Amino acid sequence: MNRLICAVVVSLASGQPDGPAASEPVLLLDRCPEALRAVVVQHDGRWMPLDTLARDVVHGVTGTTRFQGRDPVLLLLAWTLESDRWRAAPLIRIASVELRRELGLPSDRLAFSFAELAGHQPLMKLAAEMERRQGPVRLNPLESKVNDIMERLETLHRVFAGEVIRPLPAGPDPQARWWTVDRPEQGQPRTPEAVTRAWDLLAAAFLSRDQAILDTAAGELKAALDALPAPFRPSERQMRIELLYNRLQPFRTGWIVLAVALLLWVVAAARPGRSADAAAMVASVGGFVVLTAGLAIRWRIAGRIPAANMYESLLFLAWGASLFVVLAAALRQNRFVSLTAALVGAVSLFLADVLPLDPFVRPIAPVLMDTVWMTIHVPGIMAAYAVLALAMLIAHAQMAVMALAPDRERLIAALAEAHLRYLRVGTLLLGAGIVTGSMWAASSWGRYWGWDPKEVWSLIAFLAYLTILHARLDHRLPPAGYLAAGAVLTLAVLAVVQGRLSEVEAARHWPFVAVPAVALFTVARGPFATAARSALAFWLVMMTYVGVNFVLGTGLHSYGFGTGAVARYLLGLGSADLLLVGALAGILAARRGVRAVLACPQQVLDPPARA
Amino acid sequence: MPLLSSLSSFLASTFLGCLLLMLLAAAMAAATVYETVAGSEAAMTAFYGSPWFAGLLALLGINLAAGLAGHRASPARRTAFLVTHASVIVVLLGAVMTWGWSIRGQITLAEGTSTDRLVVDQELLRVESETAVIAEVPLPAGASRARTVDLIPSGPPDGSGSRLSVARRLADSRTVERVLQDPASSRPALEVTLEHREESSSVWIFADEADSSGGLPVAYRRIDDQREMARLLGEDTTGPTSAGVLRVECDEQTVERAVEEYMSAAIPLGRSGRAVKVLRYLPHAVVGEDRQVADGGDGPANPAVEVEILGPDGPTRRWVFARFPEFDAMHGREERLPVRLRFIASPTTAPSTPIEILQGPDKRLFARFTTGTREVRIEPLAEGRMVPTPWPELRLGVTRSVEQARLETSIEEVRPPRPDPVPALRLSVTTPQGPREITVRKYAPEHLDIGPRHYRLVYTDRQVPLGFNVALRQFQVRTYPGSSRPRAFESRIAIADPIRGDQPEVVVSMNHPAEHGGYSFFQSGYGGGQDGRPFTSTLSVSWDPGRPVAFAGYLGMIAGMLIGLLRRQTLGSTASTEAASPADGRS
Repeated sequence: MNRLICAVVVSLASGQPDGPAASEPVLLLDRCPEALRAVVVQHDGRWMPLDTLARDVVHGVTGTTRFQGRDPVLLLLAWTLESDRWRAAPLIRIASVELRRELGLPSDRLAFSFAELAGHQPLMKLAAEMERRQGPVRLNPLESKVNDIMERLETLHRVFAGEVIRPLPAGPDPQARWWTVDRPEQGQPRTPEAVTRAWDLLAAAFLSRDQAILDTAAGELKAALDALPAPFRPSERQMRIELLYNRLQPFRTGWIVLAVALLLWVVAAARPGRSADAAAMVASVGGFVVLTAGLAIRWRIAGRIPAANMYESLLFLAWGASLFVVLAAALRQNRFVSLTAALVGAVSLFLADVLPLDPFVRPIAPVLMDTVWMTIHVPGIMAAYAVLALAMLIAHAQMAVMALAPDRERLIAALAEAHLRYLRVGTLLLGAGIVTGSMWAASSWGRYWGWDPKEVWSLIAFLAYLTILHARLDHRLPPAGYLAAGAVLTLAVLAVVQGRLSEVEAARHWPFVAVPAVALFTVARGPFATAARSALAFWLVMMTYVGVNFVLGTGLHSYGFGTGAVARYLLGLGSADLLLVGALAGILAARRGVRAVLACPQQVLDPPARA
Repeated sequence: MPLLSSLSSFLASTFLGCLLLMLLAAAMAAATVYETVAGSEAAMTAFYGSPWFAGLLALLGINLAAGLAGHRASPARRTAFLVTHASVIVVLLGAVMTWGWSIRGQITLAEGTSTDRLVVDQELLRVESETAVIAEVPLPAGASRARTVDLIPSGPPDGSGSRLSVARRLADSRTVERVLQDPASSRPALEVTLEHREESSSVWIFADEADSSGGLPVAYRRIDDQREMARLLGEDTTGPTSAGVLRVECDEQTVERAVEEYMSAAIPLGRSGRAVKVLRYLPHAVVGEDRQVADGGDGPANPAVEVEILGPDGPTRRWVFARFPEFDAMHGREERLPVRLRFIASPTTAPSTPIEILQGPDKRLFARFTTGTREVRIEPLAEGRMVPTPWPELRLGVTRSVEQARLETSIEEVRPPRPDPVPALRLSVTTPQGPREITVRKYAPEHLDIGPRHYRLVYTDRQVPLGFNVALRQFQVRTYPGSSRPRAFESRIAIADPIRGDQPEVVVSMNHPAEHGGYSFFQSGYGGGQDGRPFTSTLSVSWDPGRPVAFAGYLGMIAGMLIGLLRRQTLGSTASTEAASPADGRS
């Protein structure tokens, strides 16, 4: 960012401001030569085909891989070779109206050019102020968005300066930084003649829009580069696999297939029949196969298990769910089980695709490197989340049926049974996940428990599920003495905690959340209460999964960073769910009385009647 | 005894268990929010490490134990019930062992060095007298509880021994300097404020000192000679080329001429029979360690003239410094001749800092700015008024002044703590003369005098001997190819153990600790490595007898839950448990 500010200051000081924004389309060729796509470059700490680099850069700048439907490789080439034209093109999208207003940008446009933003005083002033600040400071939402824009500008700046495409091997250290073709740096040997010739030909063909010569030049360039000696170069096969992965986009395909499977399961549940079941089963197996293959390829590309960040963990969540669909169908479980599992899989994969998460294979922090625990811990935790998500869905279904069709007792009992089974499995998996996480922590940080926010929230969710499983064992309200003692204990803890929290503005309303939650989890009885608890406890899981990184943003586990949007989605969805549960409880209470919501049914309290 | 039995059944109840789980969960949720505001250390003190939190966990342990003792689970579920709940107790026991007995600390080594001591994560206050260590008081993590030390165990006959106690621990501290009015002092001080756009910084400057903490060096000079003042203000010019004036006092006669005149010829001093000649003029004289004066260049920082006094007792040479008129007296040279010399350098040659605050004999203040091109600008100052400077957008003013000033340094708490905090201890001292308060910052010893006795207070970390020697051979940061992103941190260490013998070299990296003598060594941080300096590597070290116990508890807990789950599967339908097993109700 520093360099960019310097460059902008220099360009402003030398009296050559960039031209005004021009939004006329810049013509491109329509087909990218495959040889060009496959050129090996070094980028972001690994070697990759030019295709991946182009996708990464175009996605990083514009927010989408296929900007205006254009091929990312051609676009990257255009930015590099015709930087003057693209400087004025509106590439950077600033969707937030508030942000545009805050920065004093025109409110009637969404996208802005490099020249416009780099010459925009309020933005540069803010960025320079942030730059001046020292130390690890938490950014406020405005600052983190400014930071994001500055990162895009910085990327573009390096592309325009021709510094991004690095296909020339450097040696003798296999880890050395590779060179660019035509922007020699200090210590860079002369670019071999064949490479320069092919590169110049490629540039000429590109600028004159000559597809045939471009194809020839791309082939020559690739051949010339491949002929150069290199201390390390990934295998041809490895590059082909990565190109295949880029082209197939298995996870986008995956959620579509799983969504189809979901629809078919809905059909099968509504109109049971052999053919509907079979079609749903085929689609489910298809989704599972696509996902498994996608994960395997990604594992191969990264050279490690793809379980290092939020995007990759969502893939595992979906994979676990799709495995569950297939298993449940194979074991001839209720169609409802397969339906909910398909829903979990499709939704989590869909979220991975549409949320502003980074989908590219990145280098990982040393603590994640080279450990068997990541392979055990992350998939285990994701399996737990998948199962608990199923429990949450079934709990909703159970509550809905209880409120809207309270007479369908057999269905309610079946749902309650399935719900309980998921709860047990999910809680066990969550416990195992915490235990393996604790063992991993012991082997990398030297302590098995450190009260890190992620650890703490995972334990909070686990304790909540344990409470659900235990509270349902008591069918009657505890004796008045117990309740009184419990109330005293609760008030004592509340007083102590509130004393500590008095200085935290954001936590002023903590007792209004904590007391009803404690009461619901400990005093309420009966199947509806159990289902409601399960629905709410899942939000504790969500808090552990995303909230700690995105809402609290502290602690050792904050390796991945996101934007404030995720926290907003979470809060919105959580509130909506709370309202839904409240509404269902209200309907049930109106129809059958408050006892039906908060107490066990009469026949349960009277075992002989049921025996 | 119905009360006792209902108390014991309450302690064993599922209701209490559920309540405790939820209260713990609610408190922990509050703690994570508190942590974002107050920092991890404060969260540890206020929540996770607090007595009430430990009390809740202990109550949970009692609840589990009582539940186990009086369990009424059906035989089919007994195994799972017993294994799971007993294992949770084992986990809690392991935690207690870790809390009570484990040692956690760090060793920080530069490449090629070694140590046999471990710096433990346990702070202590050491009280030293001139001859011995009087006390080492361990401070519990994040302690706020008072710890008292008797400084003089065998106090005076009246029994009023001096006592020292820890009143409070400040998570982060900084030193603050305050200027106070003190009739005992004779030094004036000014608060000078510099404003640049919207930012301003203030600094206290004592007379005849300079300070550059505000960015630009600012000096405060008192001039007691009206004519020198006039010269500095540019009101009296002896000529633009003159280096200044040399004033010679001899036998109640005063001769004052431009330096250049003394250089061209010896000037006679009235009827004394002596004459004065200037041999050399140096705009920037440098006094070497051998006390020889040398030419320090053109920068007019320390103008000086070398003077030869000719007379009946033969020629004598002497250096006269414009800025240090008392130089000879200061350095103990005897005054052999009844001649006093004073060199008043001309204004253009005398600035030592770009900004000088000048105060003449009439106490009026002026700012004298010297730019890089040696242009001088004078601005009269009045307290509280900002004046422009030659530098764009920079304004200066004297905001406060104290005639008899004393500098007082105090230590203040910083809230919330910064990322690299410097903790401090606020101690209260009870002496026969009355109570006193003293603050000690970590690693910065303070001195304490009580009557004739002298003490040194050291706030530091406890160190324990490892019993063996750890040497860092090499530290390496491995990066991802072509980038500066770290891929691995590796310390190659060698352990020399007098009992178990020398160990082969091992590499410690993230996720790959080394073990020796019950200690585990983990890669935790590094420094250095730039500008040819060697790397330093920080290894965190732990010795934890509770860890295997807790891990055994983990395994038991998961195994118990698994048994329970599989049993249920084999026993068949379970949804009806909400109805069918009231026997579990009070377990």
